[in-house]
Amino acid sequence: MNASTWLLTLCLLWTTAAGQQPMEIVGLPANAPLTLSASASNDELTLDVKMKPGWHLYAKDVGGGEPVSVTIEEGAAFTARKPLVVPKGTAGKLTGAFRLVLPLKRSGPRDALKARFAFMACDPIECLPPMSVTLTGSIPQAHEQGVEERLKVLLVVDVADSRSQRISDFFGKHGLATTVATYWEVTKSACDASDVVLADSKLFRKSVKGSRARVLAFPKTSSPIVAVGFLGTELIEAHGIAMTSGYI
Amino acid sequence: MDHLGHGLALDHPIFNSPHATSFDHVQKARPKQYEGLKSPLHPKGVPETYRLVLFEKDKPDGWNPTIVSHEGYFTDIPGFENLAEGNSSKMLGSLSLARQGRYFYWGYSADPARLTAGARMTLLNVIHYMHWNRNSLTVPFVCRTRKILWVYTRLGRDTGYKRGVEEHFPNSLLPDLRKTYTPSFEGASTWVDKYLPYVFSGKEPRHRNARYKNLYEVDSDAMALGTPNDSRKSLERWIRLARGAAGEDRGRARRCLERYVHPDIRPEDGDWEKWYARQRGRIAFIESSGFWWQESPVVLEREAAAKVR
Repeated sequence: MNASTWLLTLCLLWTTAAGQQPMEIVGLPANAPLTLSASASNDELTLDVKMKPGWHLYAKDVGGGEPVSVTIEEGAAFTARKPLVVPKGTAGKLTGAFRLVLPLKRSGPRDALKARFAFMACDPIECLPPMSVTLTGSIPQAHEQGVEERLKVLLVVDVADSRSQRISDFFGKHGLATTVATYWEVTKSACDASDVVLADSKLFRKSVKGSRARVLAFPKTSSPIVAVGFLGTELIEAHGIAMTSGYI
Repeated sequence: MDHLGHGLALDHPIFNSPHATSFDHVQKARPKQYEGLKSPLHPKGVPETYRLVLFEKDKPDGWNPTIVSHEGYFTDIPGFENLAEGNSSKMLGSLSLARQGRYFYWGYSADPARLTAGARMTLLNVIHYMHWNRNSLTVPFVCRTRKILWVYTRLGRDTGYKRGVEEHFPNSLLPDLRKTYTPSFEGASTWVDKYLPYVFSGKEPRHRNARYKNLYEVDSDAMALGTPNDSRKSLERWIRLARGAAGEDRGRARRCLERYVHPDIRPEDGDWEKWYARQRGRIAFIESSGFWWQESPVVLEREAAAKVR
């Protein structure tokens, strides 16, 4: 095994151990005076850049050229959690081999990550026109079951009965932490503290008398609401959401 | 609606993640009232026989309500998701699963004892999906869309139900407009063909109505200019006319801009062209929030996410 094969093996081991997935790089101009590799995990997007001798990028705006930037593109299941981490460089210039890291936060259920790396490469005499490349990859959710286990569901019902127990048991069996409250008991703070509120309903006129009036006063929570059936339509309408406006 | 559903958006996360879903189904002949119609989940209409999947094990002892979205009531609200239709005896386009902003409508029972295996897994996926939607934005409801007037031209045509065209349609118009209307299916269709592109509501006290929530008006300015009020081409034409030579058309165009561009985003200096250059990718025409060109909630969500960067 020669030195480069060892290096490749080492890289692969590191990638697997850190949960990093390789990113596809599209659009790097042939005259770009650098080589680039990129990988990502659920937590960060990492770019490894190696400049050709004599060339540099800018870590910050020092009046010479556009500083490096990495932005998440539309359609990605991620957003940036913090600003791009860029080495200081020498007088704001990045030379040789260096790493850029963008902290990520998952913002959707899909796995797509798409980002744009923009930079301006200069040598001591001139700067090339601004360049950008697209980075695309698919990042599986880490510990999928673990994410679900952390979800707190507030189940709101007309009355705590065998039905609400069945729903609660079913959610519990699938790792959801479920709390039950009635429409008479539910508070905004309890809703806000939950990941998802499920506002349950029995069939038309089969809920406990007075439920509808309580639903019309349902707290305007910042949490997502899954609104069920008849009482669900009343809740959505009471919250001024258009999708229940279509009754004829 | 009963225990069945159709037109499922099967590539959506609620049918795939984190749990795979599969449904038993029955094959049925297309109901007569679905003939010739399309919906967001059936863009080519329903074939002569079509598949209905079982969400609940059997027919409930009562009925499940659907969200009425005939041919896309809400498709003008950016970010609205049509995810499944219920088995409606009225028309095509009655949603049993839908999302608008932080709100998800589940049109079946949530009792696992009643749900089929596929529906139980879908309900779990919905919980999972919605926790990602904590920061989803949408628009407030102000008035029903004009689509309901079109619905009256179809609703009951095959069953003899005439109350829609004879009573509801005319009483949904401002009183002066009622004399332009003939209370029959043919009269309703004729009226819709002529006036619907120029209908608006939700702006003035005269548009409010206790029985019908809102009354519709026809925009004589937009109609005289031949500019349907929800079209981007119309907006661009109003902007061109508004800076043109003084005259009747300039006045009409300026009134249309005032009428349809939301006050929160109008240019303070009156320079509509500069305003449009800045806003063209950010705005959408939304009827249910009051017939406005306004900031798209999807764009606002994206911009809010970008602020973290």
